Amino acid sequence: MPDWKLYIVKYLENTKMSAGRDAELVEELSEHLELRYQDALASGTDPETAERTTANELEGEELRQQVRRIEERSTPQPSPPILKAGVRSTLRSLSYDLRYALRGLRLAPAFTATALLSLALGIGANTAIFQIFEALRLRPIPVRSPQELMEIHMIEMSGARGSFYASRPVLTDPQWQTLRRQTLGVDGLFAWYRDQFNVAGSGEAHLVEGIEVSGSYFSSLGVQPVLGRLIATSDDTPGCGNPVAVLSHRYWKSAFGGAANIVGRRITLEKHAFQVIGVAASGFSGLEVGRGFDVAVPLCAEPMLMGEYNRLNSGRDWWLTVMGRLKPGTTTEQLNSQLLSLSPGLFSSTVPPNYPPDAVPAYRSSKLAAYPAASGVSILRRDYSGPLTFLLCMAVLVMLIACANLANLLLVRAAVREREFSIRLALGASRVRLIRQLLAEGALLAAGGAALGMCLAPLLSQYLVSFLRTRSLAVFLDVRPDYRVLLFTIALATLTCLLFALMPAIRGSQADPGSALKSSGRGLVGTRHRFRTRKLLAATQMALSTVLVIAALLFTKSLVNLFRVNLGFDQSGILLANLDASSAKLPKQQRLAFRRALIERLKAEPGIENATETVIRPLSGGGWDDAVWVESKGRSDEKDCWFNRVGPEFFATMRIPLVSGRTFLASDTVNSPPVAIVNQAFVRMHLGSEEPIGKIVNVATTPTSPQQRYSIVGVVRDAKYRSLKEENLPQMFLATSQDEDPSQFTRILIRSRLGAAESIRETNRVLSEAAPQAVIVYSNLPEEVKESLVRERLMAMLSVLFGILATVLATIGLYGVLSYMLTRRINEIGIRIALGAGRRSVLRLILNEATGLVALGVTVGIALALLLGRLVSALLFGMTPHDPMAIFVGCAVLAAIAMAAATVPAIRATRLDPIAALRQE
Amino acid sequence: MSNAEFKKGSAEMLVLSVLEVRDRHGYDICKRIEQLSAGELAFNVATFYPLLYKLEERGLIQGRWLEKAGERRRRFYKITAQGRRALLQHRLAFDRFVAAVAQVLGGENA
Repeated sequence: MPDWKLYIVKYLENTKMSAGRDAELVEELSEHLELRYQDALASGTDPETAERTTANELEGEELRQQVRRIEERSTPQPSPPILKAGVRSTLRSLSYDLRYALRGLRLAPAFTATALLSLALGIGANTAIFQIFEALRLRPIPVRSPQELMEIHMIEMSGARGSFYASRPVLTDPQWQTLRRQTLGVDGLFAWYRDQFNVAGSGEAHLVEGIEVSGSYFSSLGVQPVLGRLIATSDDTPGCGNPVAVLSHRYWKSAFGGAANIVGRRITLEKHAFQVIGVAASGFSGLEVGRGFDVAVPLCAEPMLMGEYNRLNSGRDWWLTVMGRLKPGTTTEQLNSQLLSLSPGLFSSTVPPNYPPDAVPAYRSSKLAAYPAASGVSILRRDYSGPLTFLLCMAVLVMLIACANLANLLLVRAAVREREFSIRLALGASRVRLIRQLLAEGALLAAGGAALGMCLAPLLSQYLVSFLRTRSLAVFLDVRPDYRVLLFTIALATLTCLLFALMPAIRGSQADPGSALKSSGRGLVGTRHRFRTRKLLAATQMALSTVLVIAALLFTKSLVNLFRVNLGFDQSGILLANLDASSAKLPKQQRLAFRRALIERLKAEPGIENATETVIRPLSGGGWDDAVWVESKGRSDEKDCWFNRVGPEFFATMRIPLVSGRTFLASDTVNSPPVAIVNQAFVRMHLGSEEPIGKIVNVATTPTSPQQRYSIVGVVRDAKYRSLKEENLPQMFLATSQDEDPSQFTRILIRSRLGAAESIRETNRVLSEAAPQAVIVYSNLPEEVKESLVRERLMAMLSVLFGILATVLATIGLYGVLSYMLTRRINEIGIRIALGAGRRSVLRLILNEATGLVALGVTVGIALALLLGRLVSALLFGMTPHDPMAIFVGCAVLAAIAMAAATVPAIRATRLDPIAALRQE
Repeated sequence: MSNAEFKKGSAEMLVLSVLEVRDRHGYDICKRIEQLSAGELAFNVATFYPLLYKLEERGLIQGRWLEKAGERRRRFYKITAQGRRALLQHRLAFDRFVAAVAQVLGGENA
């Protein structure tokens, strides 16, 4: 068939035209000639005559003149009034390019939608996770010159004994009091502690987030009030006089509706009245990232808030975070050498009375050091750094898959347009012009994808933050769109778009326009090198998806493992009530009887199956441990053991079976010999096969109690103590009835036959009657256990999401490559079918191609997964990252989906009409 | 209306009237005119497209690229509202012209 485009090109040879117009003109006119030629052939004219008469249609000057006229009219006029000619014409052609690109994209809605969706998901996921990562890890706290802030704590805590109120290194009040009197290279040294305060009078407690701060806290940080004034040194005096409180901006707005007359009003904290003196600036939410605060009170209010558990002046209560600002001209090294030289004096002067003798030398030789604290402190940061880093890696992988997908789509598009560009180059269009047009298309895609991604990111990150928020951990993360990650992802997307959109221009410039025109793409077999890039991209996508799918399965299986852990007790239907009866001011000798009466009242209720007391909340992450040894083995056998003090019904309520001996009895009193019940892990560790009943266990001296002796009266089955993940710990249970120092706080464990809400209502009714002044906090054990797995649930959920996303993207990629290959090889397949190839062999031809790609991708993916597995092993429970089941299932699922996607073009190939296929150009 | 104008005008009228019923691509317009006139009226590429482009320039018709499944893309032309008004004017003028001619011819023969 004659190449009518060449005819047109020749006819218009000396007519200069703009890039967009020329190709369209050639396309339209050559189409006309071709149809005319086909009609002539159909009416029986011989090909030679048909070509001649058709070519004759091009005689005459009229068309050439018309084209010139159109061109002259669209050329910009000289002497622009405002902009220089160059700028104006650039803007003109830019808008033309953009409109042309937009039209091109509109004409390929499937391509555009896929590309935009890929980009939006990739950019959205990356931005969302990075936002949280950034809010937790990177962003300085919103105070004056945060980079000057230093935190001072012990280099190591091996000499510390007593009660720990933070899972980071913190100081005691005597240490803080000594430190603040030193002259140091820091200004405005301050201390603070974060706690929860009850704002309700009595009955069910209403807790708010609180901070206790030293007088210099706000002034050192440079925080300003929006109303009234903030806590100053004059408010933090011994005894506290008239106690004051400062509200956070958020709490002022949410609890008081932003009332203008808040200053001077009184609020109740732990049943004490505090006078509100001001509201802090809106951006400031304390120094613990992710936690925020509602109310700030001076440290001197501690005795009012904590009553007899007041931590002021106690050398055994580790709770205060101490910070200060580095003085101008002082370096961190200078400050550290000052701290090092004052440490011996400070620790020697603060050794608490009755400190365990074995710990005193380590305490005396403890050392202080300063650490940069520009981004505050955070438990969330510690807990989520690993998972977030890993999730960020997964999000980046998804982004890479999305980019590979985009590259593939654009390559397919590019190949289709190579001929178009050759023609335009042949017509004299400048290469710059073509490149600019392609750039416009790439830029439009990247901009569209980025815009959609930006809409998606805040939704996703808000959802993630709300997912992290549990009843016991109020998470307040200030998640804002982060320009750095946005720029990064947009840059990545733009680069991909531009690079791969430019491919046809790069290819076109390599080819001789003339020869490109002659070869009509009607080769029998698509050349190998044309496919190589595309195949490589598809295989890469497969490999990355394999990694993500395996990760998804690993985390899901790990979560399932956690849910299936044998707790050793039955958590269903268990309600916890924390009861604070301190306002009743019962003398010590009446407290046990009072608590006992409460338990009996509860047990008498029809809906309540059983009730008991416990000091330790099961699976709370915390605990009480001391060194113990079996007397018959001697002190050399001393090992760490975990304790709980419980009521006699504890084991029945928790359904922990007794293995031998007895449980606690009413006869176990303060006046009878101290008894203990141990678990099987304790027996294994200390006694092996020896008979445990009757053995004497010694508990080492602690800062609060002298050495004690207990006789073992029973052994119970192992149960989890601190967390689901731990190995069974050696445990020792003491009897509540033998507590020589009973407190006014008690934790009641209730097993109820009622639903969670009804059970709380019922218990609250009973307890409010029995102890009208008490403050009670309720929690549901199964819910708490579920919440303790929030990190694992998040990992499983997000990795599954990423796995699905990756699979979908990779499948689209594979489908695209195979479909494209089919269109390029349509003649070949047509010939094969015409020559008698069966449908089966055509199917095999395409599927073989797919199998090769999938196999290569999956193999590389497995290798990568094995290699990267080490990084996630800490985040998995009850399995290794090389879990064969996860790897096998992951690969099988991915391969099955990929092959299903490949079957669609393969079946299409078998249904080809050979004649139509051969005719097609 | 001068003779040359009339000639040009009638070609325009033909294109517009063919597009009045439905949108067509360039070759389809030519073909339709040929068919309806039983081959008496025919255009060639070099004269037809300049006409088409002028009509488009004047806003009487509008061309756009359309892609249909299984076909290559083609530039389809559709008549605009302005085009329809122009066609009506052409028709009225043409009817007057034909009536005038018929009257002249009939008058001489009567």
